[in-house]
Amino acid sequence: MKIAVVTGAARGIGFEIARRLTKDGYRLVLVDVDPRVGDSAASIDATPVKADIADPEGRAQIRSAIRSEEGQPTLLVNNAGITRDALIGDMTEPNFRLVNRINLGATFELTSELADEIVDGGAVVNISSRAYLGNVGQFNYAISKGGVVGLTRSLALSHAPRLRVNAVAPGFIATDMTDAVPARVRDRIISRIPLQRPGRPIDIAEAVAWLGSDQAAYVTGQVLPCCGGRSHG
Amino acid sequence: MRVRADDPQLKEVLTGAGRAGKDPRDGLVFVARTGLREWAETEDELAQAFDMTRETVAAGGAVVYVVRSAALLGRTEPLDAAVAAGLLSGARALALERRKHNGYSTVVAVADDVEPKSVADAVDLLVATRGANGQAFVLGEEHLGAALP
Repeated sequence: MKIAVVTGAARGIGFEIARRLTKDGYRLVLVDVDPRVGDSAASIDATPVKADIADPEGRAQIRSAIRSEEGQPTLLVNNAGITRDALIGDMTEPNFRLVNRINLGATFELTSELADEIVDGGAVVNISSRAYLGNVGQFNYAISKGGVVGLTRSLALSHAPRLRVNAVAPGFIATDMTDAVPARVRDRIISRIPLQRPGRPIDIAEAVAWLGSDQAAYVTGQVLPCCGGRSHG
Repeated sequence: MRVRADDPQLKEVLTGAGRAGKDPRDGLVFVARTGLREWAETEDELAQAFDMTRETVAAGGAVVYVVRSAALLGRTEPLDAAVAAGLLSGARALALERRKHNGYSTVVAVADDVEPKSVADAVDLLVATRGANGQAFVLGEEHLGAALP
């Protein structure tokens, strides 16, 4: 049985990734600090871990959950992330640090701690963001997601040929979080997307599933933008 | 320009680059530390970049980050690569955010065999022309044949 670990998996894109991976025969370990991870995991017969990935104890819980599956992971999906948007003049250092600690630091630490346990030929998929190309009010988030890109490139080289490490960079995706965006702003964002619609969580999940699969066996160190063409538009 | 650099030789030549003066309004050259192995020191490094950048931007100064080309390409330890690529994304975000205010932010990526004087010359050129606003300007040849982030 293949095992996949997905962080930030209680809802939204992370849960959709987990649900999609069940179709590929993975046994899932769902990680989230959100207590709803229990119900989400139950709905797809997965193992929940309510843990903070930025906390060493939380990461120990994840390793323990993987051991309880009596196998080694084949795929690690680093999806957990947060935003604390503000123009740079209003951005605080605590929020700058927090965003980078969760989005980048925890991704680095969890991957470093799990890499040796991932089976030969396995894969890591990091969820970056199209914001790594720049976005207003997201200096902290852009740095964290650009950092994930740098991390991805470096880890791909250092873990080759045993593991593949890639990233997906989602654009504007319709989730609970983006539903809160005012309609006027939302319309303006969509007007700049060549495919003229927001992405769906399943669009990201399909990209992750592909990068994690043997169909992408010759792909490593790459960033796949899933943004409806916005990175060129 | 204000200069944050550990290498004394680089600091000396960069101090003469761009606008004279060390006030935040005169701009910032932030040379990223390398040899990062732990997250805590990496977070401190990024936080220092943030603090100095915020201060510089508030005063209307230009922001220049200097990183190793090898780090930007991912050919270094992971956290050095993360800082280099992260600062590039920060420069991009800042350039967009400050577009209506004539803001300027860029990254100079430097190969290991490039002389410090060339780095200072590049900073002079970039700040004077506002070239490579929100993008990387590469010195050296390490990047040839490779994709930048």
